Amino acid sequence: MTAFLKPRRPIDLKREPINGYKGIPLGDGSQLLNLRMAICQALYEEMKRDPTIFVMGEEVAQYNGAYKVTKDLLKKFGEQRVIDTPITEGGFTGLAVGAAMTGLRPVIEYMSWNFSFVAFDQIVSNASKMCYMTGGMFPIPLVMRGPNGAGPRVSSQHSHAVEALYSHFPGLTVVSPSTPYDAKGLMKTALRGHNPVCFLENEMIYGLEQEIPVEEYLIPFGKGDIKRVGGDCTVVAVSRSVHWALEAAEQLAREGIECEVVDPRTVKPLDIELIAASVRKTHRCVVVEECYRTGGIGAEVAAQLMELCFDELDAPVGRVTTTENPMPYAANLEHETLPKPHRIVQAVKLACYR
Amino acid sequence: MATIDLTVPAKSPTMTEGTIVAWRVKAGDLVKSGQVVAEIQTDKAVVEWEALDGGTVAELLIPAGSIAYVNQVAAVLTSKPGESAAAAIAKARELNAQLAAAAKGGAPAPAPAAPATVVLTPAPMPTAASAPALHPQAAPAAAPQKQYRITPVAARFAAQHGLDLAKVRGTGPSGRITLRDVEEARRAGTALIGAAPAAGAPAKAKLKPFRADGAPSADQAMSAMRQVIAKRLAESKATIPHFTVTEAVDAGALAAIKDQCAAYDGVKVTVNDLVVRAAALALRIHPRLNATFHGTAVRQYDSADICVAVAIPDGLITPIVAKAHAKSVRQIGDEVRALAKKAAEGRLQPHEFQGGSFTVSNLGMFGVESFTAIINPPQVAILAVAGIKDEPVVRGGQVVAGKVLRLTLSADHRAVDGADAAAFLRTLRELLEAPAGLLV
Repeated sequence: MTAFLKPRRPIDLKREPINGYKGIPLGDGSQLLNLRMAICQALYEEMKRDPTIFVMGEEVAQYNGAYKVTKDLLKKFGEQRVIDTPITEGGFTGLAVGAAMTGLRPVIEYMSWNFSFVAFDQIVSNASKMCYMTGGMFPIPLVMRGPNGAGPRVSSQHSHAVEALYSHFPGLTVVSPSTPYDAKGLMKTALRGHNPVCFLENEMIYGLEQEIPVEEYLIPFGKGDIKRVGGDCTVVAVSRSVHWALEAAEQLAREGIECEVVDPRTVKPLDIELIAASVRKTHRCVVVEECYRTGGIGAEVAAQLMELCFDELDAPVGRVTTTENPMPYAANLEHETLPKPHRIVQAVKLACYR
Repeated sequence: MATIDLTVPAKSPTMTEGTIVAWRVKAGDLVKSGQVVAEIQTDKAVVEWEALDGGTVAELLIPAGSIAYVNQVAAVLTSKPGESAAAAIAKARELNAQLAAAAKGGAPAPAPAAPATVVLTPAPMPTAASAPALHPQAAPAAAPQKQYRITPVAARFAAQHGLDLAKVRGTGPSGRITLRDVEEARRAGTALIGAAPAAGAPAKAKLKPFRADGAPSADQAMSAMRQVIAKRLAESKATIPHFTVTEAVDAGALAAIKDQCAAYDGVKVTVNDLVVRAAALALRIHPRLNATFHGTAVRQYDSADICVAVAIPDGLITPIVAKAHAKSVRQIGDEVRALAKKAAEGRLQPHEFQGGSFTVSNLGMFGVESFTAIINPPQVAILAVAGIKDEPVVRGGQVVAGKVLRLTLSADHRAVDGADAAAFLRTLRELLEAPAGLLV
């Protein structure tokens, strides 16, 4: 279990920054920052280390990013490396693929992954296939990043979670971190790889604070993390769902059910061995995700568990997903649509025959 | 052109063999699916055996009065009258011989007809290497064998620990056997009878002349039931951390009420009926005792299903007064007597003695002062009811002649604590000392 601890203190909003690449040093080798700062810090450190990295997207430069993830990068690295684009996802994604082919390492920001759909062909047909189709001549070290999943009341078109969607295509790595520690370590790995990465952030946890080491660290892809230890039911979750799962786990613990919350961190490659190891202990599994049910992460985990450890299962693998309807605008309906803790509690109890 | 084997079913969770008491059909009869074909004496009761498939009886292979091992072919049916079943009968006889030999500790039981089916045989269950997979469609039509709804991990656990699935009660949806069920079965044993060692001693014991030389007489083989009792009670006493709490009840009013009821309408009310009623009411106030223990969980019930220990020849059984909290003293009394009668005749149906959330064991008819009972797992408590004794009691600072009933609660310290037991007994005492409340 990596550092997933509540910080000793929250950020002092009056005197300390809530964005930018500088964490708040706590004097003992650790620093306090939030998830948005953790990503910014990873970008900053890697841009400093590697001059071929550049950032591109709508409002990433002058405006510091729609969610302030690229705060101060323009000031630090100049307009050659931090570039504002027009509202043309298809255009700047294609441009980034081309730039990657010339040996640069582009980082592009989608203001929301919902907008990646207009660049779908560039992502799926060009970015992920170029290396193969050129016989390995043109690897595409491209990081596509931005907020993913439902924001607060942004309705049907702006609430998609795309983990499962992009995991479907060979050639794409899909990263979906839940904590500042994980986000920084995974972003640094993404920036040193040779293949296109979909780096899925979540707007609703950009402000999540954590103490992380000042010292440099990287987190490899395909290695999950156990966010809570328990013996009764494995709960697999990524990104914001991890926090819902942890909340549900607290509630269930009061009723005598101990959940083990497993965060794969990267949906592709998926650390199924870690999940299976947990299921061999608990014999029950519930998958929580913001994607839809059909063909979702849960479907994949359930299928792989069946292949790997069928004889360990004591109940069908449960799935708590975004329900299969367009996201309603009304707050109460949005609450019921998302895989919130009350639905997780229900699914875990079902798996435990309780 | 097909024959159907009627294989001896496991009619109780612990049955491996039984006796065919009587056939209700004979060769040449047409049998419908669901029709009662025979009565079987199990280790607990005489039960009716309904055919799963219909056909014409070609031959009865196990005569009435004979021992029938589970899975032996008791009869062969043909789908059409007059059809030849010679081959099927020969095969069945061979299987029967093998099963009988295996049951007597001889040759191993034949391999199940289909490895994909969990078959109840007297031989050890398959090891993990041949753990039963569960594909219902793979079951051979000609030899309907018991299949179980069971989760993969529970099936593996059962195979590893040599558990007999026929003895495991599934608590999952549609009776699915889950890991918890097999773990519990392994821990607790699976027979569901067993409680206080209530002895059915005759009122006036006759002296049995002992041998002059003092040599032991021949060993008496224990009956199947006695063996189940032995196993269950030894496991209960050895594994459950019993603790006991005793309370003395001023039983003057209780004794009076018996006479008043009899005088009113000839209604026979026993102390036991009143205690069962009072216990049911007290369990609603103290639900922690109305529970079963399952390793890492305690299951409380919203119904006081009270087992009443009944002595029967060479053993005891604990038929259940279901929903005792919702029944009057009279209903409870009638039901207990009806169940006891059925028990004595060996005619209790499984649902009448399997389960229950609490047990009452009564030796009051022997006039004992007090005793402690052994918990009937997975329940967490048992109440031992002694006799009402004439004793001096203190009322208003004066010692006067009174009547005292001693109740001893044995409880499972894993699930309940002394304070729970004490609080329950206090409520019980209050109810029994002012018994009018039991009659409304």
